[in-house]
Amino acid sequence: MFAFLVDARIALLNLVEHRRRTIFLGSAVAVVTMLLVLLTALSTGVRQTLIHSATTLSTGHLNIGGFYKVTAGQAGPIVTDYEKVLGVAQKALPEMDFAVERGRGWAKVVADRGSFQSAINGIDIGAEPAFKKALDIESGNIDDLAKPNTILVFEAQAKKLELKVGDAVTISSQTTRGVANTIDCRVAAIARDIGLLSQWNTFIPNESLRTLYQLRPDVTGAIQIMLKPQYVEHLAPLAARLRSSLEQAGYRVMEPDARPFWMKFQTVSREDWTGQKYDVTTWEDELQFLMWTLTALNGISIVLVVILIAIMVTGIMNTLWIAIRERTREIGALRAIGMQRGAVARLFLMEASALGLLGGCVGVVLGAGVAALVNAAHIPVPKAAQLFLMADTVHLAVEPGAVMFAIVLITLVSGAAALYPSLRAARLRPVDAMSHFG
Amino acid sequence: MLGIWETLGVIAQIAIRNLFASRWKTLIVGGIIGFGALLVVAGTSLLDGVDHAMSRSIIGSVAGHIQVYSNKSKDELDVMGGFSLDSGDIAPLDDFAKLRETLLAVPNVDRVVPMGISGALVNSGNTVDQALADLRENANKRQGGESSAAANELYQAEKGHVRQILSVLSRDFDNVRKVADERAVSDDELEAIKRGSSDDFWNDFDKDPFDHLEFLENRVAPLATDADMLQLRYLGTDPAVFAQAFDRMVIVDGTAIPPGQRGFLFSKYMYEEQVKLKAARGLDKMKEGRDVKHLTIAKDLDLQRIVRENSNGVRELLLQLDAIKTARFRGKLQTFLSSQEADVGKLLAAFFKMDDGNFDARYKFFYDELAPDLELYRVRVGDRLTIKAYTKSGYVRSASLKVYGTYAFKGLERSPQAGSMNMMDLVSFRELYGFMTAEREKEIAQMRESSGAREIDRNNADAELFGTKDTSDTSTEPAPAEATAPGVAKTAYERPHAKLHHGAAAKAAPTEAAVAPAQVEATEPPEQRARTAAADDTYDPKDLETGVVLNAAVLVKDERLIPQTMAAIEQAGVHAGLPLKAVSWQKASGFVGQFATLMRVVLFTAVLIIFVVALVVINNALVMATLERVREIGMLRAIGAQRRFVLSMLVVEAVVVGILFGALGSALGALILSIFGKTGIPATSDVLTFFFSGPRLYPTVGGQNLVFALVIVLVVSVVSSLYPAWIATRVSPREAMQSEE
Repeated sequence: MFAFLVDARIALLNLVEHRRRTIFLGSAVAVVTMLLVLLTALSTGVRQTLIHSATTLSTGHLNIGGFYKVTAGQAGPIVTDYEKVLGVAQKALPEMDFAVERGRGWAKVVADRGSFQSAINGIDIGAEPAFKKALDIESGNIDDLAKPNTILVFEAQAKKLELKVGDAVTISSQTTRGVANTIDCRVAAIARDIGLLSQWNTFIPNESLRTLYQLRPDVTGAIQIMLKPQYVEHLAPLAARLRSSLEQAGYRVMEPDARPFWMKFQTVSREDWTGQKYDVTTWEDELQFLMWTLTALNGISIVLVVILIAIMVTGIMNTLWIAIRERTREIGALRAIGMQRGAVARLFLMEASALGLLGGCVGVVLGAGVAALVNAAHIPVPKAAQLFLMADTVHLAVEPGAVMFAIVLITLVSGAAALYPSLRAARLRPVDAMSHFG
Repeated sequence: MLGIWETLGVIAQIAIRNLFASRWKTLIVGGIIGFGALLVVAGTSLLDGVDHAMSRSIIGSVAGHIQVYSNKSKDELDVMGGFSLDSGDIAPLDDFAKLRETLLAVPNVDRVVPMGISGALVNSGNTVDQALADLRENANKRQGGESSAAANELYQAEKGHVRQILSVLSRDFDNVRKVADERAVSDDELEAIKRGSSDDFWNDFDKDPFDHLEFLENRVAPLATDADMLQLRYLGTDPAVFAQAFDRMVIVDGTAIPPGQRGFLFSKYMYEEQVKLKAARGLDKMKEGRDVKHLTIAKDLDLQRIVRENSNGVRELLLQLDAIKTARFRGKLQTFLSSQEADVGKLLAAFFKMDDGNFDARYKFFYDELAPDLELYRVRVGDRLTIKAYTKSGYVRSASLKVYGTYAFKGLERSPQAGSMNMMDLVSFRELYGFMTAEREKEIAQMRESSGAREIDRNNADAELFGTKDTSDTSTEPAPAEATAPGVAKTAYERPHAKLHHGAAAKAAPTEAAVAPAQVEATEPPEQRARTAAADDTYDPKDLETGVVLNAAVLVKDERLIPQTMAAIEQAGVHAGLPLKAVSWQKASGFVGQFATLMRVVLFTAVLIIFVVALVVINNALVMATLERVREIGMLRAIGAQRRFVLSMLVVEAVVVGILFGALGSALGALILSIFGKTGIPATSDVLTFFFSGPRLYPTVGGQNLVFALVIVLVVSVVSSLYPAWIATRVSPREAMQSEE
């Protein structure tokens, strides 16, 4: 322990002595760390925006959806008997925070000044305090959504259709029977946009959705299950457990299929069964069609970080090379007075690691600062990149875990870069080293 | 005093000697610089390649060089379609003839193609329709005197087929009741189904087959719910003009839409992907996966999914089989699989459980032995397709169009982006989109007359509209009036002042077509059966020329002048009183078109970041090197070298490293790219064929890529050498000579 402290002290003293070099190399390390932090923050930010908007708008952490097939060839995104099914889920998942039922539909929303295609969500606003909290209402009163034939739209939609609270729209769709049907709704509230998904989602009371599709009251679109925060990251085993519990309770459950429900129609319509089958999905499944952007973003980040780290490693090795040459006589002296080879190697390793740690810490602070500035500036994302980043402003999320990871990675890499030069230094024979000049 | 050239020569000499003297430093700095140059050359060349290929794809498939649309539109035009089927909220341009005249007067404009893009869910016809049509055909033959044993057997088999479907249908109605409330199913409908599946009905069938068939077609078939819905995007245009302007377009099946005819062309990609029998499409995909991409069923999850889906989804095949075909399938499959199983469904399921060993044999067996008895496409070339579209104001309009064939763009056959667009004549498009056409105006005038031109107040008119969205299409009954409205439902159109007319239309409809009111209220309009109605499919070419368009594609003579041409077009619009907005193909193709730009931004950001870090590291390395050479520099200064000399020496050193390794890196990058340029980079996915404008991308290294890379590299090496050089100039001879190191 004592030896370690001595080594650490020598390493630090060396860094202080070669101040200029330390500052240069340290700043390179800091820049790389900063970029690492920022890239991770971007990726995390996109993911957070996505999960936030998705779990607010169109999916739970886990969902029990499914299809009801009137005939073998026609499937509706319907969940029958949902109260009993929810009961089973509650027993199977103690991790559940709460669950809500949402109707699912796809229809044309028509106003006086235009129209658009929308995913219509049926919602029971009285039972969804979390939804109310998550939405930022621009005008109107979200509680009015409890009344039948009301609708909640988002800012961009309202702008496009020139809608105000109280205006009437017509929703036009086809029922399970393929018959066109419409309902008239009054705009109850206009909410601020939540990422890309709010471009096409709208909300109406469940009751009105049932009227639109002529459905019975014990039928809904999906049960969205929200988990307690600590369970959100590992969904696969929970989904598997839910699936098997439903099966044990005697319900027919579909095979796991990591696609959103609206991509499953074709597959389901081909299968030869009628009646109800339930489908357990995670939010990632429901958003699978958007996940490629995250994958691409992570791919680019990883390539970039690897290249940068390679350059950084070259720089560190180069510097240590010089340091060793400069200090060859010093090393010889240390060896001559009895320092072991291992200790010499450790000295240089520690010097490099300390440099990495310092540079890393500075970089993290810089990265967090830049991220805070970017977030505060509300930089708008150009339209072409919106699809890529899922949001209309740049949102960077610096997480403690990612910060720790960056510091540890950079420190370790710096140490690793020093490995070869350090061993070379340790191999010097005291006699040769002492007689070295220059 | 030495001349400047001699000085430079000396400096260069010293610099090069120094480079060799401190090899490690040269290698590290050079390595970073060379790698950077390689990255820049390869990256920019590749992007240029993709950019160029994509521009050909987009310009050649639908966008043209410039898109022109109304500047009053709420959305920006997106011809490739973002998330929705249509091209955004685009305000119409009223008179295409005037538009074309205005555009053609602009210099550099070569061709103008009228367009409108929209989309709809399309009912591809269901099994009941198909079976009834077959039965009718056989009944016709029977009445025509054909009474061979084979013909009779076929007739009986068809009857059995229809009857079996009806029994399924009545079961389906029990299922409907479990989810739908009582409003969804009326007593009339239940009555109809009960009668259709009763023994009495079938015992009497042969007495008057046509009367019975009519009942089934009009009252029962609309209740069948198993029709497949296709999501179709379509482009309304002048087919002949389009084919001339976009010469990559080729007809794959059937023929082009003849001039003056209403009609529909599927994109070949869509036709294969959505209209083909799913099992057959699955087999095609597996074959391609195995033969082209060298995947195996044992390892590839997608292929395994197809096997599973095919094996679970034999229903679509079974529904196509009548008694005779069922027997034939049973025999063939039993022999082929050497199985005793009598149930054809189970035989088929076993047949489709394929593995890598038996795939090729079974694929061949399917197409040679089974396919001839199957309808491989749900909509055949020559069939009529009923398209029901929402107009802008949310009403449902429908048109029944003849499918003339399929088309594709050369080199882009496999691309979902290029293949997402189907085509129809512009006149039908306008009707589906809810525009007034000359023909419809006339028609409405007639209807108003015949209905006594009743005045209808606005409230009442609205009630009519919303109550009976999907009102009577008269093509069910081949009424004489039909001739003027070829399969187009008479519903609402979008202009507010026209709503009044519509009220009249809705009122008039029942008198025109004897459709039971209950049916008008609540059921699917039976115009799918328009197949039987002989509709008039022609239009006056003048209508096409003069009417409304949403946008127009402009092809130019000289691509380099696109920005000027765009400005000239908008200018011409102002003069002609047309609210024109001209956008380049990149802009008009939305996200797809800006993809290359986005990639460029990403690449340049990455290059920038890399070079900033490289700058710091190189700078650092050079500072180290300079500090090491303090004594040497002091010596030089002592024997009379000026500070400027020392500075230039170090900068020249950096420049030499930059040029040397920059060139090396660029050459390596160019070499790699030229290898790819020869062999081509294969488009590994269908999506990539669009970005590569064909199955392979052949990138080339342009001079500008190399120059760009060298310039960056030189700037970086000079900038990174400035600070170390400055340190060197601070060295005073005395200090340097005294210093120990």
